Amino acid sequence: MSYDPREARGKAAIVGAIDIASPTGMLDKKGRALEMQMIKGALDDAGLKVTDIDAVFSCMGMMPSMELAEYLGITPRYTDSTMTGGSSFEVHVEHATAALTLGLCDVALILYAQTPKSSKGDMGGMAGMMSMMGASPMAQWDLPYGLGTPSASYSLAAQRHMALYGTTSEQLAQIAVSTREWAMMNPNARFQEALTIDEVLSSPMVAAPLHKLDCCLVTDGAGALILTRADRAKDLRRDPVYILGTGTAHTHAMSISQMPDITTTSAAISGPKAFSMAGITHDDVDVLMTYDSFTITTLLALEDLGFCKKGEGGAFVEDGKLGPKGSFPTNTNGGGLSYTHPGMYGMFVLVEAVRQLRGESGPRQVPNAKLAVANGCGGVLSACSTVVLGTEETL
Amino acid sequence: MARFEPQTNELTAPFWDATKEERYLVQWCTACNKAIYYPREVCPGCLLSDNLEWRESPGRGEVYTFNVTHKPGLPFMTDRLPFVVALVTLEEGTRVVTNIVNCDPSEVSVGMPVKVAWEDLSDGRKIPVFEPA
Ligand SMILES: [Zn+2]
Repeated sequence: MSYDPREARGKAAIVGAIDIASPTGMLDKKGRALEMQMIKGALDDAGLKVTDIDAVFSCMGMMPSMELAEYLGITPRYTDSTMTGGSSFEVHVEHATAALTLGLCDVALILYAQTPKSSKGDMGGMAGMMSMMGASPMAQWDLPYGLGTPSASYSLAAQRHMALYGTTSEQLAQIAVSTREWAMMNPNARFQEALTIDEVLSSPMVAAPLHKLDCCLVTDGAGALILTRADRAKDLRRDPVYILGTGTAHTHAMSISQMPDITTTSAAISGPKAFSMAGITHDDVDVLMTYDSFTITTLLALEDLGFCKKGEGGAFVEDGKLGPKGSFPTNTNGGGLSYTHPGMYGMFVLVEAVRQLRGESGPRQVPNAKLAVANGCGGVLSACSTVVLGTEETL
Repeated sequence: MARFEPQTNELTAPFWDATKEERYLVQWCTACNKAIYYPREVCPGCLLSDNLEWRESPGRGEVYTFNVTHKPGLPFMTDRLPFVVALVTLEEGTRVVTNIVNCDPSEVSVGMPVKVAWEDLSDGRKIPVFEPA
């Protein structure tokens, strides 16, 4: 007997999708209240009830999916608390696709809510984290040198990319500028004013070579997805967005010293897996939604997913092709750089990909979008997960 | 705030004890003939602990990559901004986290040869950092 992931191509679909963010960066609700708002929104979108959910995916909490199901008062028969940081939701889509295809469950809920901006000033979390880490590898070998935040780790990747390939700060800044051009068309985006390369370069240095405006936002945000099997999806309220391919890989956890090659992320593995399962080539992609915790995160993903060669990401982006007037629409919601970034942004790349494929993106709609790639990157360039999504036409 | 001082455990006590005499130790698996970083309870190559040993290192290598931290996200080393965080590839082949000291941050480059230097911690231990070789 042989097994082939291509057998799951198009067998599952996203039938409910919602996210929320605000120009103030803050939301009225938080915690479970915000989560319930998202669940209701995604279920209403699909035309399903909470009692239809029999699979729960969450990465927030001690026993995430169990705590969520208990709160909802449901008894799921499939459960998944996989935590890979910001790419958790792409991994959840992959796992849900497999479980739905095998008949292990019928209706899957994937959920995320976090409100770091409203909760700003609460340093209890960090003090707790430090004491918990004790003699952990990071606490012994990274923190004593001042390496302990995402910006410190990502700047290490950016510096080596610049040294090896001649990538410039201007090229990285262009990514922030192109992404902002999309955010200017998103009324829910945190930043909607025009941005120039000079403004990025003159923003304060955080960890050279990365400036403040090379870094993502810190905002409140939340979202939810409902998935079901393709046969059932057709009877629901919205046009299904089919899962055509998935792939996941990780190179390390939170210690970037353990990354085999700091300029090559595991998207170089997850991308080809997802593309192969979907049976697509790069030319088939109408929209790319890729995790942008930092400008360098986008650049590495473009190379590792194979849209350009390793080292050529700077030249690829410098003509502004990622923006609304460009030939390669990328991060059309305004990204983690300008739309929202509550800490684990991967939910939002999926929701915007769904919107684009449903033709719901309003002024930022990519005409006739049929196929989208959503690429998550969690940890510190650690865990990449790629999902290929398509309309019925792509089946 | 000053530098975050690492806790020692049973595994890493020999490393930190040696720093008091400015001796830089690297963990090796003699069966796999490979240096290991960060130090492990077992060698990830053979999953055994019997063949692990600490060897004194000349503490030489080159800068793999670095940043110049101006605005640290954590409240440590704020008394010495900006500082250089680097990954250094040792002659032994492992890639370690460190700081580059005793030079202006603008002089640091990828590929620059460096050697170990020492800074005092509050309890008699020292922490290995690197400086231009
Ligand atoms: Zn070994």
